[in-house]
Amino acid sequence: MKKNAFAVLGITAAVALLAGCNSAVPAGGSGSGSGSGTEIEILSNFTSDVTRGKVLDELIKQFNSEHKGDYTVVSKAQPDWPTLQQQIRSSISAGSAPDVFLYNYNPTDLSREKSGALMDWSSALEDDADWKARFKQDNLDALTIDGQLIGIPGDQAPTLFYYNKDLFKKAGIDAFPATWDEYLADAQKLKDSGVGAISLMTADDSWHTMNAFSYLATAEGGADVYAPGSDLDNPAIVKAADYTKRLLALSTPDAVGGNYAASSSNFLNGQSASIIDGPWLISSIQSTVKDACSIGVAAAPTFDNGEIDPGYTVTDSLNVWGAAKQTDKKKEAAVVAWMKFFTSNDSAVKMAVEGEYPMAVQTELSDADKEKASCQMAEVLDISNAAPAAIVQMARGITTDAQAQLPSLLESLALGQTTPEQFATKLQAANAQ
Amino acid sequence: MSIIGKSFRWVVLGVFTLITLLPLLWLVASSFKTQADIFANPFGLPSEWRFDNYAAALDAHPLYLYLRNSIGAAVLATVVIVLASLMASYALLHRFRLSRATFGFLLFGILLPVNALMTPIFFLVNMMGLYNSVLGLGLVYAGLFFPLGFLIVKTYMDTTPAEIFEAARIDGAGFNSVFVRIAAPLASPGAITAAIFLMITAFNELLFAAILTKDTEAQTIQVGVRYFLTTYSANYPLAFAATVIGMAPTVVIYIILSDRIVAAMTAGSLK
Amino acid sequence: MTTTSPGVAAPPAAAVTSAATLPRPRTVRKGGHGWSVLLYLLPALALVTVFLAVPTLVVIALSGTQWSGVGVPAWIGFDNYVRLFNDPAFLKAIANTLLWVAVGVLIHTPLCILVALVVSRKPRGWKVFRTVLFLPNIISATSLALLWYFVFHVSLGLLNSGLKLVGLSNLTRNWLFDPSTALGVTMTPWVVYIGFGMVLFLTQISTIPQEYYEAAQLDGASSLRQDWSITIPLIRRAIALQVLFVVGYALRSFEYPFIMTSGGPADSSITLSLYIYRQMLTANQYGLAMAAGVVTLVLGIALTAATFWVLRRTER
Repeated sequence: MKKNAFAVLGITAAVALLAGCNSAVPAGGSGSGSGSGTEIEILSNFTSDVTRGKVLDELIKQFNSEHKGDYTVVSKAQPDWPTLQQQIRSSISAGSAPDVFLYNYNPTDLSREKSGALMDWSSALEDDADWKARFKQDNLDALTIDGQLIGIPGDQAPTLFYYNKDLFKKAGIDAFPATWDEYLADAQKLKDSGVGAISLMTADDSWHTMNAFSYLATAEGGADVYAPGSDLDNPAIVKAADYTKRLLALSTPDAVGGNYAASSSNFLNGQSASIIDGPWLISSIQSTVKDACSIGVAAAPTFDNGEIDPGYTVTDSLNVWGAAKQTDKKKEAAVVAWMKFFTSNDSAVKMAVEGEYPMAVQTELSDADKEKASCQMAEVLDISNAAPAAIVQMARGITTDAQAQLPSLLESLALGQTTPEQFATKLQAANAQ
Repeated sequence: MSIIGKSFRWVVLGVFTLITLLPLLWLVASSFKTQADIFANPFGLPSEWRFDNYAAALDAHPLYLYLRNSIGAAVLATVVIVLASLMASYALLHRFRLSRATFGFLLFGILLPVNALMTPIFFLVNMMGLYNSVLGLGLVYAGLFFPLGFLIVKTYMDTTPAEIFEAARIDGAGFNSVFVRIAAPLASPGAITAAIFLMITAFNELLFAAILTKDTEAQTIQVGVRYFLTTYSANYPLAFAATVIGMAPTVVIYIILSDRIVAAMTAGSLK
Repeated sequence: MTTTSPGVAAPPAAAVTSAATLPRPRTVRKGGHGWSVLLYLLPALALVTVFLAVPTLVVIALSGTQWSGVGVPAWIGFDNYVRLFNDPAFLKAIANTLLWVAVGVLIHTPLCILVALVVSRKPRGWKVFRTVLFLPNIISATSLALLWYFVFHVSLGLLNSGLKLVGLSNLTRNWLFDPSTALGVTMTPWVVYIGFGMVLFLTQISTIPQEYYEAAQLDGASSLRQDWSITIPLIRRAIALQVLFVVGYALRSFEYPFIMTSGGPADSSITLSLYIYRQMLTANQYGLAMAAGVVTLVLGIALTAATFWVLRRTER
């Protein structure tokens, strides 16, 4: 009798759980602020210990004092990008999407955009033509899904070579190489001089390694070589895998298995001579490297085969500011007000100059602003403005399944367990699932 | 006893003591070094004692908040389990139809590899609106660790002689007052043992804390210390210091209560 | 499942012993108090139902669906299982889990017995040794994993520095990410921290009547001989319990591979828990994660049953 009761109880709860899955769980954690009006939380990787985090904190302070009594913005920051992305995914799955959050847009994985948990920005932008004009139409089109604009373009950071001029000189290298074959020859010299030639890592999203890989693949096969929908089991990917394997061998000993923190720490502490990373690295260079301007910036080499014009850039995914769909109109207004403020020209200039963080909005730097920019930032802006093409990094555009398998695939490549040919085949298989 | 036998014993004890203590001491020493010192001088004491590594570690991530959350979840789970166990053990002193089945049901989880349940529990907690809350984490711990606490408490309560309850009942004590006045107090050694065990277990848990929380509202120290290796740039001395901070609470309690903890494990062994 | 892992303290040996035997509950009196009894059982029943029973039912039910966490789970029957058993990473996870069991039974447990036998002879300062050796069991596996991550680290690690110091530089390697050492390295802390097993065996040894040893001594048996023919047979039950804990821990092992190697390189140190975690949080394959959970449950039940079977046979 009682046993039956428990069984019924258990099954009822199970059914409730199953049923709950359909309508995707309870409405999000809406904790309206108390005395200070409506409170919204911003989830990003802008922690207070890096310059863009400091700028964000200042901007929030300014915004909060301008809207005293109405809106309060609070920054919640998570320094580790892959962890941040996981948290955002699980919050959306949990039905409690953060108020405002920075995430990486992936055209082959629109699960977040199609979850129904994100706010539609289209009417807010339509109502304010000036604001809308600040964004590239391409970006807005990419973010319009089923007629809804599901986010505000945040940034699309160019990844470039940062290299340690002192270490290059010590190894007898005078200029940054123009082709990948020259680069490999120089890398050997660097390795012989006792440092890793390039900072690479394979954990999490294999970021630094996949930057190199993307440059190699596009240099061999052109801008569309891994465009969404193309067959990755092709000769350019095989060649990129082959060169990546050689680079991994010339990297620091902890490259296989290392994560972003270890890899960038190696570069900043002079244990490796170069790294391919986004402009956020500048903040760490400025605070860690003694003679900060001894770190040069360069566009990646090519194969000099005419497939692509030298000087092009591989970029991070378009990072997007998404927001939770709000039932509370006041909260929605607060989110829109904050985003308008954050993407204004003044904020964008401040972010670029003081925060080392170029945003994906029109940013008009005055000459005085340019003077203030750090040595690397000035170079980054020059290179990316002159770039003949900008291609999104490969790992940002593959399926989550393939992303989850990347560390394992790269590690077996580095360890000689799979050949470059097998790597391409396996990657394609994972991406097709 | 032969010389060989005797020295063999000391070798065994020495080797295991070394394996246990050497890495810990090395960790503590390294936590006071600079990054360059760690690479240049891996052994020996720091060439300059950098006490501010600890201040910097506490500054870099809100370790106090993480500690607060850890302790909150652990205390909540412990209190809930101990109360529920005391009540259930008392109820099971009374035989009824299905009392065997009930006992089995309450204990079946002890044989489950609970990590296999991480996905459903993640959604369950979300549905209850308890994602990213100390309350949610504490309740999940209470559920997962209940069978362990229950077993300890029940074993102790079962050692109470039935005559004591009979005597109380003859004196006219009711069901509730026998529990409050006799059964629960007499089982308190078991309850305390269970509480120590549960506190430590819940405080040290990582997997469920990692999947059920997202920010400082609810993240625990076990989740937090890992951030020292996954930020923008690895700062090893701070990571060492943070690891020491993460270990400190349980080690301090163990130093104070080691006899109690080890004795609790040896106490009722006479079966 | 209880545990022998460092970082998770273990329940008293008494409770543990009774876990294996599940004694008949002592009863005070029949009948009466029906509603009160139910009321007193309610909190416990609620905890077990909500956090153990329901999740077990759900994991089984949803293991046949494809679900990315949002929207409606789509029923796909046994496809998840087919996919799992075609996934080299999953097969590796099962193989590694079984290796954890094997190493636990064949290396870790004998070491625990060895130290317990030494300590049980009560050499000078044995209590201090017992306290020190038990210490890792109360430290979190997270902290210990970080500690051993540093010990094995390729450039700042204690081990490589030590090897260089004694002139064995050619033995240094990237321990954490060399496919031939990664799995062993993630098991090392768990294998060498013998505190829990030691206390478990000490407890059982202390119940052996002293007369057995006195008689053996009169027969002129060496202490090694005594250990072998008196002590070991009489702690059979504790050995079986230890094996149960080993199985339980092997199925739950997560912290060491997660923190030290992330399961790498090339999945060589992945475990079942880590595989589920990855499918759930990185790949967003919730249905697949649940199917992997079901396989873990089944494996756990099978290994536990096997242990009981062996125990019963040796007791016959």
